[in-house]
Amino acid sequence: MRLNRLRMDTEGLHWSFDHSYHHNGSNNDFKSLIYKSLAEYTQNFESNKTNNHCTHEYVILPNFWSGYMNDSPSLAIGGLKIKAKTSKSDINYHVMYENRTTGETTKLNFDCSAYGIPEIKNSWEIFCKSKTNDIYSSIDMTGQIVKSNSKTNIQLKLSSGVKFSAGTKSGENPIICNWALPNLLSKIHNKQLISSTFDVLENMENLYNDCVFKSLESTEIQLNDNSIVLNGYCLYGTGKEPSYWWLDDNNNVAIISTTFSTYVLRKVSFKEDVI
Amino acid sequence: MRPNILFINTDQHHHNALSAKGNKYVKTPNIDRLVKNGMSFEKTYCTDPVCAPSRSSWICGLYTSETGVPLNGGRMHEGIPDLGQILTSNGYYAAHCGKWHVDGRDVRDSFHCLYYGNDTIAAGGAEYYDTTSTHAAIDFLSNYDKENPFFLEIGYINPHDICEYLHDYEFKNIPALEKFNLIDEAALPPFPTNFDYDTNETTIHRVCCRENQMIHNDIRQATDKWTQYQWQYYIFNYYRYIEKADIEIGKVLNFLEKTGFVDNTIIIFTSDHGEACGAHKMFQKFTLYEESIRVSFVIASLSDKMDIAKKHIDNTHFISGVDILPTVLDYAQIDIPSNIHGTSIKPLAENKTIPWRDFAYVESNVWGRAIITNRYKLVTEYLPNEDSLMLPPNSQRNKYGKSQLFDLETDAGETKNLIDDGEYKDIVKSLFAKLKDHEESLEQPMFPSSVKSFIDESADRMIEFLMR
Repeated sequence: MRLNRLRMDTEGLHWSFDHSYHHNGSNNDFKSLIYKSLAEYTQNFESNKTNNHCTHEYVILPNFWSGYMNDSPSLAIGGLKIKAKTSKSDINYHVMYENRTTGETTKLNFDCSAYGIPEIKNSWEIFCKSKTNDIYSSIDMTGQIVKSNSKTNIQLKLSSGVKFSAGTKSGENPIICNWALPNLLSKIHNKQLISSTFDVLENMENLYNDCVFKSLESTEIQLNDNSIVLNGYCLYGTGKEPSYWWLDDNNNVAIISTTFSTYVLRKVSFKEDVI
Repeated sequence: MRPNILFINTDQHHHNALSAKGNKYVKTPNIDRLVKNGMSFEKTYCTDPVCAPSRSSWICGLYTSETGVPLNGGRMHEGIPDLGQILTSNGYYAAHCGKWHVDGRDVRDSFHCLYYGNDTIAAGGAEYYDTTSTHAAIDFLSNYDKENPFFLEIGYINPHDICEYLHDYEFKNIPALEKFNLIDEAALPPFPTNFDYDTNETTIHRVCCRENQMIHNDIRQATDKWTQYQWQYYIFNYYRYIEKADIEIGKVLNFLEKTGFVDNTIIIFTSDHGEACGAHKMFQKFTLYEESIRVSFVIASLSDKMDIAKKHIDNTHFISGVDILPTVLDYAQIDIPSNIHGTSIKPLAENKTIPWRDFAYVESNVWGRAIITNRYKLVTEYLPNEDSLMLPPNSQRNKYGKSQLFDLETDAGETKNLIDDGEYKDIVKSLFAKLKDHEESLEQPMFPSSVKSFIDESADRMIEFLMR
């Protein structure tokens, strides 16, 4: 029997992050989880508070059934925690990305510039641990940017000591970790920076050249007690298919929608936190 | 010393989507590096333009009407030895990570499984799995210390994520994005010059892919309303997914180069099938047009110590997915089973002259067939025979339905169907004879019951369509 396909985009979520339909057959409600997470965030967010410690926590929702763990009690397939500590001219990031579908948890530790474009500074650490029953169990790497003549090399080093290139680039684009992009986006949105091209180092190991944020439009999500206005941007570049980033008026990226995942902000805290 | 073999494959990657082939809308420096370091075969065709069927041929050297996997959801016949089993029983360490998708055959039973998702990797999800597959491969290359040579398959899912890009259009109204001025006109790939399609296509193609189609009809309905920009934007997205896979491949090659294995490792690169990219107003695969069935195939080595011709483009030999298994076994110095169809490409990669087939043979959606020769391409179909619905169709038990003939030399875009042009009568006759001859070499047991519903429905729809 052919299903009666509803047009969900008229019912509250922007088309760029509305994946409700693909979960209609389950007990899990994609849309309500977005509302729930955003409500939790807005209710507890202290907009007048600042600190040199700031942690953003996201819940990760699968956009499609493909890859979703059917035996999981929740639709959410994992979480993302971005902890930023600002000191003098640097921001130190600790990131933890956990995805039950892949079975892999990634931890990153890196520094970027606090002023202007948040480009990567110094060396960094990547630690990935797999919880599957297969042979691969973990990988532990450090990385650094090595410049020579006109080329810039992303050099990774395994814990065994073997060094290899994760990619090279030419040109003057700054290199920014994808998890520091909220910082960049808020500066672009607030006109502290002019939007121009940059290179994204995704999870500090996948280099996407010539990326750019392009303004999309604004949308408003009505929560129980209040509403949240989101300003949409589209990010794309070499190796980076268009994804949609939604910044709220508190300069927090509330939603990121990629091909397979929707990251929804659920908590922002200003206390020192350990990942 | 027997070589290590690294088999890297992408998913849904059509033959022309490499910068090495002059495509200026996609950047693939790492796959290009393989092209520079090896022999590329330009006339390479998958055995069937769908994931599971094509992959079933890779691992056993048989066509999809023989393997039990003529469709996604088929079931590989028990008792057919697969590549992992043969390599393992002949002293190789056969390892796998990433996409497998051979329905009815558990990869963990045939290979040492480095990584296959937290549960299993099904059809899609490159965004989830591809980087972890790279981690698993690098971890393996970093730690492998056995005396046996290894075979490592890395199954990258991208650019298959374009399927989910398209699935997004099934249920929501995504506006025409030109109004947002997101992408500069110059960066957009051109609108396909062969967007129009022959209205006299085969019946199975029409019931699967055109009116009220059996496969992805909701996407079809959405694309019917697309502007030229939306078609171009879809191709733009497709190329980004290819670049993602290329970046993963680059990390593996760069790491391999830093290991002691590089001087003794053969690298094979290909894809399971292509992607229509708007040609003939089609998306995804499932068709017998070139964009859907033609793929890249490269045999390379990053070292100068292996006997592989470098920077060599072969425009002569027809390569098929059935050639993977015998090629790997030939490099591994293992006897090639006599009952398979493929032939080892190793002598060709060494620039030797050997007798070779003069055509490619492709199956599709159970009933569809194509024969491609140097100049001409015949696309045809078998009509359902209700006495033998669960037996693979062939000229012994089925009648031919509609057919198409294309002159690939003068009409590479397959825009002029010459099947009814009397001038080509003898060519058509010879191509049908070639099809019949080839079929006589096939051993086609009954289809598994898991594909019965598709066969029943497609047969009903074909008959209904022909009765109109």
